[in-house]
Amino acid sequence: MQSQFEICYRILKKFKENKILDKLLLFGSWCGYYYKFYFQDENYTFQLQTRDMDFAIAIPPKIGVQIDLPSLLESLDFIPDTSISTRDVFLHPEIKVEFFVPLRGSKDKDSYYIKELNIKAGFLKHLDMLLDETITTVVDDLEIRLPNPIVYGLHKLIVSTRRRERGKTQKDTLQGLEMLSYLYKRGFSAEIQRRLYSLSRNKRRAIRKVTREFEIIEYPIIGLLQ
Amino acid sequence: MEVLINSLLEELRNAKHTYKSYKEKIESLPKGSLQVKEINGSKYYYLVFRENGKYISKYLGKELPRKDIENYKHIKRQREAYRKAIRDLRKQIRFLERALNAKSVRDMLQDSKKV
Repeated sequence: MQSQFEICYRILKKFKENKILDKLLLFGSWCGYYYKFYFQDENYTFQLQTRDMDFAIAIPPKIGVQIDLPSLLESLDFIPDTSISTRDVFLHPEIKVEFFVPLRGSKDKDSYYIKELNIKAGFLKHLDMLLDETITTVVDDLEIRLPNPIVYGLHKLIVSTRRRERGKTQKDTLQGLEMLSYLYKRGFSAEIQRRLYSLSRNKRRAIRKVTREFEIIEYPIIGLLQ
Repeated sequence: MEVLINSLLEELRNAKHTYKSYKEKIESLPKGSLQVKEINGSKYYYLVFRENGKYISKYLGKELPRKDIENYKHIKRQREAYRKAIRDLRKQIRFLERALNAKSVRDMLQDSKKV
């Protein structure tokens, strides 16, 4: 059985070989793992990750090359999820790959077709936030684009309020709090505060609401977020 | 702990769904694999497969376009990869079901339902 880490690495390597890696932003729980290469701190422990490997693409997409992404993933033994017709989802025993573009305003269609990659990407709200501020981490010869970790933490808290399942809300909230607590301990409190106040009032309200349930003793960062 | 259990439940759901998708995919692949017999220096191509438990060997011809040979090889490789995926997923499902079936976990899930 190939490990999840190996599969992820192979996907990223394949994307690099096809000159699309720098056009994609890795977000979701797999960020947690790749941040460890960015922080280079043995005290950093990455959060629980699932099999979902999500990539964000800015719109309009500026890919610059023409790639048949479904075939590319098929060469890594992925199969398309035929139960979802509205967007493309690629399955593997260890990893599930999905692509998303930011949802701006109301949704008038189910997916966004990216011709250069021959895929239908799903829409996701608040994704612009992650795409606007990114960092790059180097793993071997791969340069992987990730969201700015502060923005990633704040984003997790915001999206957690939009989840229907309580379990997912909890997981997102904890991931956000863990990341922000780690950065808080590393002395980024002023930067966290600056970015928090650059958010809209609605987003700040969502963060306050979701973090209210947690203990300040366990997460001192809550004092800053309230 | 609740987050961990919910993640395990989500993983189990995903694993079962992926397992079903691979099963469907393998069934959609064309049946059989290519067999080449060399008789008196000439090559003869056959498509071999099982049908209702019976071994069937279908003669395809003396010559086969290179494209077709590559295609049969590709399907064979895909079938092997999908079979491996199904085996891996079966192991995952068994592991997750056992983990979630532990008495302490069952009790916790029961408690959370009451809340």
